[in-house]
Amino acid sequence: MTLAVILAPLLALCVVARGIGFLPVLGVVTAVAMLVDHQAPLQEFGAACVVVFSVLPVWFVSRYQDDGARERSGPAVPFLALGLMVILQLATGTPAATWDVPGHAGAAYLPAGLCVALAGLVAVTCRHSMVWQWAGLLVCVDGIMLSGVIENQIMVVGVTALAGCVVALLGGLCVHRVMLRVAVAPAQNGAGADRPAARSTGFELGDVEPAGPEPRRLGPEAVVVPRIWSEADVAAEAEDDSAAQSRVEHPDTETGLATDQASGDATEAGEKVAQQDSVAPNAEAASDEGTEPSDEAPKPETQGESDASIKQAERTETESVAAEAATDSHQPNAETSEDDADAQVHDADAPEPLEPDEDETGQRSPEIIARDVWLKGYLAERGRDA
Amino acid sequence: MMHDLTWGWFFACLLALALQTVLIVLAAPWFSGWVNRLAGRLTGERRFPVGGRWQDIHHQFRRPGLRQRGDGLSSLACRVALILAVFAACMTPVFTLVPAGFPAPGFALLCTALVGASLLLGLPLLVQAGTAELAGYAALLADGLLLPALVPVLVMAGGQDFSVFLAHLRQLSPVGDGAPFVLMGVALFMVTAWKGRQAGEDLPCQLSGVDRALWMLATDCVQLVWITLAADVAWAGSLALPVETGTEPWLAQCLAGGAFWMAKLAVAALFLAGTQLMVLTFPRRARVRLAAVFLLGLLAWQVAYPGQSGPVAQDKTASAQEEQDPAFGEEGSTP
Repeated sequence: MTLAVILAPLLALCVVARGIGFLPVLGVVTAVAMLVDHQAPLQEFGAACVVVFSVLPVWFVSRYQDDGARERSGPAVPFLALGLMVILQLATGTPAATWDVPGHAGAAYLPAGLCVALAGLVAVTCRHSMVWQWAGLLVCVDGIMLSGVIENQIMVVGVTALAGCVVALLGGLCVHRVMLRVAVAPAQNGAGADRPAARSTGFELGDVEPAGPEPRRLGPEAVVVPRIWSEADVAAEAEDDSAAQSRVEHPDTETGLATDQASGDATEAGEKVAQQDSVAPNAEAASDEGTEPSDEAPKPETQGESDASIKQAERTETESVAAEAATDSHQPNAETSEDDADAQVHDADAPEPLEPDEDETGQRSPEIIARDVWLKGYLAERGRDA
Repeated sequence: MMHDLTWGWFFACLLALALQTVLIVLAAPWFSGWVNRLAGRLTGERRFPVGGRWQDIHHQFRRPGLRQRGDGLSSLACRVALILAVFAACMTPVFTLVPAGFPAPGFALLCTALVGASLLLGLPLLVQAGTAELAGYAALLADGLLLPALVPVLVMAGGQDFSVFLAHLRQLSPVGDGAPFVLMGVALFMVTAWKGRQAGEDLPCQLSGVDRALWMLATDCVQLVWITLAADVAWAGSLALPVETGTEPWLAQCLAGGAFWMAKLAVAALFLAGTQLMVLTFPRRARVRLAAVFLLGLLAWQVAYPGQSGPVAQDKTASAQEEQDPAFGEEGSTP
């Protein structure tokens, strides 16, 4: 009976009461309690195992953030463990072997290993947070190891060492899966860091790119809505390039390209989403259009709106094709609505033989574009029926 | 028993007892201020310096008091509580024990005096009306239940004199056979651990003037006496024992015992400041304290005297086995 044997259950109670922070102290005290009596290889192995199982998990958990789980169990839990220890002591009593030996008669005896394991079981049962339960399991491992070493049971020590390895590994995996790291991961410079898969893992602070997105332009009104218009501009420019080279020196296009190159990388992430939104209906329209191009052209246009709508549908189709062809060079810029108004004026002023009806749809909005796309598809269906 | 005690030793013991009492009474406010300072350092707050508590008591002694309703009873309770606390401090060994023939009180009397002082210190809270009344009732109930919770510890000490008990403990090493008594010391320490304080806050006592100074001094004295008792029980080897050796070794042991007492107080102050980190409500604190005292005392009693709590039938079986197989006892004695 030494002081370390007495202190080990008290420290196990501290683990039950306050958490995993007392686990290294418990491990060291348990190792001392093993090594005080004899220093055989069994004792040394048990002490080393106990220290490893107690220090390493705490060091591992200290690399992660506190999970902030609110503990619902109250301060009465360590007293449950203490009362169970008293009952265990009552039930165990003094071993008959030491009771009748004259040197040991009346000597103090405490089943310290069983008491420590009992405290660990109470922690596993009554505490709710994951780290606390893991600490309880490790306390159990410590207690059973102490009991096995005191009773000189080699099999118990070996099996407990294996179980401790399993408990430590599984608990570490759970902690790594659930909890967040404390350390700030530095930004990786490799090529894999640019992929969205590499970026989407991130609650990590080091994830921000050097040329970060400008926060003013990330709003939906700043990115999504003018983007469609700028694509229309790009498409119109592509048509102009194919027909005539007159619009190359257009000032609006130049400024647009300048803003493109400035903010193209920045707004890349936000625009990919918007691009997917706009490309999907256009692709449907293009598939419809590609089946019957001949029916569309000679079709008599009775309604004024349908004329404009077909023109618009052609524009959106070419726009989508051009956007797919020149994604890397002509990223749609994020312009404000004043720039769009200017672009509209320039579109009206510029000589465009293919699109004379541009003035009618000067107030186009995404809803109107969507309606036009639907109308075009409807007309195409009707023409096919006819 | 008086025949082997010379008059010289008698007066030396009287002098030592007086010195111990004065030491405890003077050191109590310093210890309280020290614990307060440490707790403030641990919790990251700014608290008074270590001597602030003593200055406060000194300042309150010179202030005129405000007379309120029921103040006469409060002042009487404070005075009686201080007398009881000083009486308990007189019976508590700080650095030396008393020799065998000297009249020494039992442990039960000591604990009763301390619990009585605590009860009387809760009385001024009860007299004044208002919000402090509930806290007064709770404190009174908690202190009243403390004596039943101390029963295992009292049983451990037995009916013998406390000085004789400590002289018996003195031969046991605390890291060896005396380890259960360390547990008993922890149980005694738990008495003061969550005593009426919430993170360094005193109980709201609206006394004023001399009564308040007496109340504060008695509170600190009771706390320090409990701590000293726990330290004595946990490690009795540091106490000097007169008459066994000559006068000069005894004086040297007394000096060493005083130094060890300081070291024990430093450790106890650390633990006390640590317990103040736990934020609990007042009734919950009382429950935690009582349960810890009782269960730790019970465990210590079981560990220290396993023959009294162990099953008796096993005893007979084991003796019968030993009669049949004499090698059984040798096998048990070898490890």
